[in-house]
Amino acid sequence: MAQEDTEDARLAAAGDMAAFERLHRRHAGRVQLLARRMLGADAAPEATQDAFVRAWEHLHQFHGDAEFGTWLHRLAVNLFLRMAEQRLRTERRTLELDEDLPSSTREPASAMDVHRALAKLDPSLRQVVVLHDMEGYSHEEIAQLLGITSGGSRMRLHRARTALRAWIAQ
Amino acid sequence: MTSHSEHQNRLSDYLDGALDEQTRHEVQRHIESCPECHRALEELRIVRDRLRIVARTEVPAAAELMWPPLRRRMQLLQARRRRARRTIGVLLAAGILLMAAGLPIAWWRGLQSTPENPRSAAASGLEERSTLDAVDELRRAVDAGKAALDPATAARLERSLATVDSAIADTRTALTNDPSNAFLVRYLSQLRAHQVSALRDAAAYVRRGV
Repeated sequence: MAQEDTEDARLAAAGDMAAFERLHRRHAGRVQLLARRMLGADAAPEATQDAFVRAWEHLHQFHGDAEFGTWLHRLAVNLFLRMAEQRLRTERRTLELDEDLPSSTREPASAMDVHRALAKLDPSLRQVVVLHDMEGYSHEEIAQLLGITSGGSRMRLHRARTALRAWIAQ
Repeated sequence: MTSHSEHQNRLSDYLDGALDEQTRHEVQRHIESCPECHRALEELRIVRDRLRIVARTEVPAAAELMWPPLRRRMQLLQARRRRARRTIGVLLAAGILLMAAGLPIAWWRGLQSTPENPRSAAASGLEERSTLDAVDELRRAVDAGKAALDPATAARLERSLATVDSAIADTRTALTNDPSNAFLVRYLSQLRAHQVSALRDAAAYVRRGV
């Protein structure tokens, strides 16, 4: 797939929309899940589109040094982090794992429950727990993406998991 | 001595195997003697594992459903950019035309107010070789890239540049007849500067591959 991606990225950079559609077909799912985890289900469709529009506009910067999927994922993470930051300026969310979440007698957490819990997290904690526990980023990589120390990333991860514990782990 | 809360803050790192050997032993000993931390550790493990399971098993939306709206959006963006580029081309051509139209007015005003300077007369009819070379070079660059332009834009651009060429030719003829006219010398120099500037803009415009 990596070779196909590199070739399609080269064609798409020259304006070949069919090549870009093939790239989209192979990678849209992962980007959409990332958007859903980082920004929530409501924002995910448009954010996924934004990521691909941005990728289309910056394809000339992809030189095949890394795999296309890695390049695209990093581009999407950066974009979604900025979107989360912008959103934070307008609506300040607090850590509220409270009465509207299921009680301890409910069914084990489904994917939807996990997303509901993630949506309740403070964005600064949410980004770290999503990137570390769901997307497989290391603390060093997260630190670089967020402009914090790796110690800060560890601390946020622990706080995020502790907050989620109150509901997911019951 | 490490406190209970300090041990508690290290539980996630302990869970991920991210502690050095000595600290790991310390935390482990604490967990064995602290029911609260023991329970917290198990719950943190459940949280982490459920997040991982969801990450591995979650089904994304079908790419085939996401593509049509994305394609429409990209087509709209492309159309908007094409329109913007055409507008820039039109404005550029119009700018050259306005500049060419404005200079004769300045010339007329100059003729009304500027006394002739006999010392400038010696310079009349002479132009810097470097300026003429720059004009030739830029002109070649514009001609080379013009084929890629929308024909209507290319025609407008050509008409505008021709207006400046014509004003320069007229001024040179006037200088031949009146070589001591200081205003004409100054005016020719201004025209050349405008021509270079306009050609530079036009060359940059066609180079962008419109």
